[in-house]
Amino acid sequence: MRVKVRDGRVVDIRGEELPGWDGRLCGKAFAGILGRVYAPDRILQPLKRIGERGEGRFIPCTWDEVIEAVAERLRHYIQEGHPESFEIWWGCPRQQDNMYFIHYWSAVMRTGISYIHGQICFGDHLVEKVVTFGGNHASSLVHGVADLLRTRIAVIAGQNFPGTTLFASSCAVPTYALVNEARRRGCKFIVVDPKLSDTSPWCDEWIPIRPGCDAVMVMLMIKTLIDEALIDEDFLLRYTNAPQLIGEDGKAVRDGEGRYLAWDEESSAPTPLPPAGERGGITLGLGRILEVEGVDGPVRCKTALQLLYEEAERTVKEHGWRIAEIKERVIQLALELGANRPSVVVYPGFTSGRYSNWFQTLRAYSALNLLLGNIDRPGGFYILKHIYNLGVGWPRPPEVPDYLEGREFVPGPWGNLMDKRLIDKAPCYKTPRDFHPSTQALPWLHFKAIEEGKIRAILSTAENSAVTQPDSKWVWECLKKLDLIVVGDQLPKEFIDLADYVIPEASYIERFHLYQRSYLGVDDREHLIIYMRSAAIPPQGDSKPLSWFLIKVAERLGMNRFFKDLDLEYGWWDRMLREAGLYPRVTSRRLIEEGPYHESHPLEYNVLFKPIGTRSGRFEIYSNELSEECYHNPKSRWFGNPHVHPIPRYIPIAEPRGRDEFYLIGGKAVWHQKSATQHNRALMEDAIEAGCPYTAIYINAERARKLGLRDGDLVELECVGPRSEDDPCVIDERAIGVRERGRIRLTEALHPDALWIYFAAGHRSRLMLKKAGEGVVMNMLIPYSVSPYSGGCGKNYSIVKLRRVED
Amino acid sequence: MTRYALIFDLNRCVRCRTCYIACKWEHGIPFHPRDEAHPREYYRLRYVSWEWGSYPDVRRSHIPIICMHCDDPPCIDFCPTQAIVKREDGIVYVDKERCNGCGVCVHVCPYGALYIGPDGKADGCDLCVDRVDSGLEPRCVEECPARAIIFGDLDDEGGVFIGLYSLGRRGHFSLMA
Repeated sequence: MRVKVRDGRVVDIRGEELPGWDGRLCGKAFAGILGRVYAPDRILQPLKRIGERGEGRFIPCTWDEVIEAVAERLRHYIQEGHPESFEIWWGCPRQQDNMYFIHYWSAVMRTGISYIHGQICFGDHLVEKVVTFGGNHASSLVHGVADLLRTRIAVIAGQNFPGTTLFASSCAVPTYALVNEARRRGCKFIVVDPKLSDTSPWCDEWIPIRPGCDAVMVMLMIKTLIDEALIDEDFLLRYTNAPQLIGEDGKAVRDGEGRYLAWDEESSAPTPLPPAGERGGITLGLGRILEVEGVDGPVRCKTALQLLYEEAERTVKEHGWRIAEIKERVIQLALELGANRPSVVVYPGFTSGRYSNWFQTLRAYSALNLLLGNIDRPGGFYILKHIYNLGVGWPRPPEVPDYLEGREFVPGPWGNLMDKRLIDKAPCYKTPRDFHPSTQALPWLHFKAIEEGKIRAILSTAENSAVTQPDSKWVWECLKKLDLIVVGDQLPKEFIDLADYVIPEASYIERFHLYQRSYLGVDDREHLIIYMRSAAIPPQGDSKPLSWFLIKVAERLGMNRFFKDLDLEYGWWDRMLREAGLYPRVTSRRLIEEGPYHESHPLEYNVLFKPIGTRSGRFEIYSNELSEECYHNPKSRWFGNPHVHPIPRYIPIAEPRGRDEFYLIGGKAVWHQKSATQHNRALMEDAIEAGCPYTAIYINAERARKLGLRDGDLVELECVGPRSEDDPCVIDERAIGVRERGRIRLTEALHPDALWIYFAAGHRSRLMLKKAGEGVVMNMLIPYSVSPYSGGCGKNYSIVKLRRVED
Repeated sequence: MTRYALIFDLNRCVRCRTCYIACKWEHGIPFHPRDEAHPREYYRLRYVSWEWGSYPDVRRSHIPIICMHCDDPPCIDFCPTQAIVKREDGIVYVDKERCNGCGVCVHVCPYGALYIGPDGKADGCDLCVDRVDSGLEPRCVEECPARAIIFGDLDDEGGVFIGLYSLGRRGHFSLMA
């Protein structure tokens, strides 16, 4: 984004002249300036709480007072030998100050740190993609990057598509351009969602799915494709472990050297599963039982594909009724997908953890795509090939004293490094692992640690965990136990209401950050851009970058030697560019003065551009990792748990029971999509809603009529599930019995079993806009559930009882 | 002759609301969600949307509404101060110097496309007349991420714009170019 400044004030903005953007911006870019940078209620000076936590009563204070308060607490924890009692919680890296510096500061000061938002954003989705496809291929597939210009059918599950889908990049503008060009070229878009959302109606078709039943639908497609011989056998044999032999005990069969096996047709004998790309004479073994000579005699085996087929058959037989109203259409769609393979994509959407069964649902979606052979093939999903390794930019000795000695750092979210002993990492690096290392955070463990007195102070930035985590009542109660809460932001929110001190953070156009982004353009090329966000205007009022504040705290604690020579505006980013081999050809200063660095490359379909990073070296329909690490590992806490079964499966979730009970689900508004916009007055006018009220509770019109409800009625929602007795993934039931009120909106465009609201539409902070208080705080009505190993936190997993109340 | 017009290609529109915000940005129209202190909202562009059909066979329509720059605008006929002007190029605009804020134009506009702004004067889409006079396109056209808004001259016979317009008039509504 280019910013035009006059007399120190932004007067206009433009998109970059890059393919896909062509100088354009989406509405949220304008709203960020109007409703955040220049919001009339922007927090422009440090504040100190004077009322009770949660009341939102503050008086101005000095920066020095906040610095001393934090330094005093941290000094106390350090003296006790527990600096990790102090944690930094951060949200989306696109919204906050230098996340690499924050991790460096945490590493030096030995505090805790957590990307607390990450796990409710895409955490279990990334785990699934790493488990199924390996780390080298996972990122593009999580984002749903697809060669849409050649795609014939694109099936998208949920997401308020296309507003929050990431086909092109994590920006709406090039995504819209790509989707429209794909449509012009004949791509048919089908959306699978309980709600025909505000932005999906231009799709060619809406398939209303019952909440939590995606895996039934996918299994029906899988069965249909195999029954009709519409699977891509060559792809499956070359690149997947579909031919891998699995014994009757459900475990992979190995040879004496520990290699996974397949069945060689020519020799009628087992053979090591060939390297990816080779198919040799192996078979997919559908409908067959194969005998392998083991140490203790013959072992009866089936292939992974056969096991998937049997699971699909069982699912359809036992659970097909759950999708009865769309069953015929799903079968027809499977035939259409099979006939058009590999130029089809079935994308489950980016955001994660919708229900407790979402990890296995994602696995099922991936298996379906593998049967269609659409990974890095024309018209299928595309694996971006051109990304620089920029590193984290941490200064190293002798520039600073050694701070790494005796400690082990492991990969953290967004390329960061984190101490292996931290709350988010320790369970991922024990043997056997409790959670996958690609989880972004393990939020519930932080809440428990607060309850146990192990975490005693929080500094939060760019996140509103007080209401953005499921089971807000639990979270709220935990946060109130802390010794100290410091929250950095520009606008009011619930976490600020709880804070002891509020620090006015510089906004995104008042500080510096380097970003890299790869995407596909409408010109049929892969693009890579590296760009700097720089301080176009000075920090408003008395606001400062968070990094400035953290350095001041460190100085107060006598740790200045680690920070005194750091240049956070340019030097930090130049260090990263040097790491990537781009410096001095590309420098941070030049990126600011001359605009983004840009490369473009022709599309290159090459599944094996990097090794497939799974245990078999192939895309895994049968997950050897899940088998060995969890399901068949008696030492694992997930031993025998269906959520980690190596073959994807449908796991029923808890259900509404009475005629007045519903699933409560949510989705993003295309014009108003995250915590960063939940108080943005430029996005909160009635007129922008176009008849889709942002704060309403949407209900199927027929269901409403049966309950005697009319449009606009005030209703109360009471959380009645899921309970742990219905679903063992539920770890906290405090939300049961919680009630929230709002007005209903009747719609024909919603599955009868669901109520639907916009994410982040409802708030309780008295400092926020009155309208923000009209909506239901959805997370108050969600019991906390955790999916084994993937750590998905069911953010759409709520069952409520609805009753009409008098105004 | 020149007759300027906009085409909204609803097949391309992704309902992102950028036109709403960009229009208000361009013209400095105040933003504020309604509350006791702000009972009214101001906008030159609004949306009309509705559902048709019944579950599960339901579709949703969404149309941006602006001043239609009528051939024979009733707002001009009824304005007591002759504050609304139609230029030779078809652009209808409000002369703020002459407007007395009586609101008659707001009531007679068949499209509900005019409003009385916080300055007490009538206002509506003027196709960003200052930009057009400078050789630029209206801001909504320039910003539309889906390229669903097309600006052109209805009298430019043989041009792409009139071709698209003709397709729409014939009811094809398949304007994706």
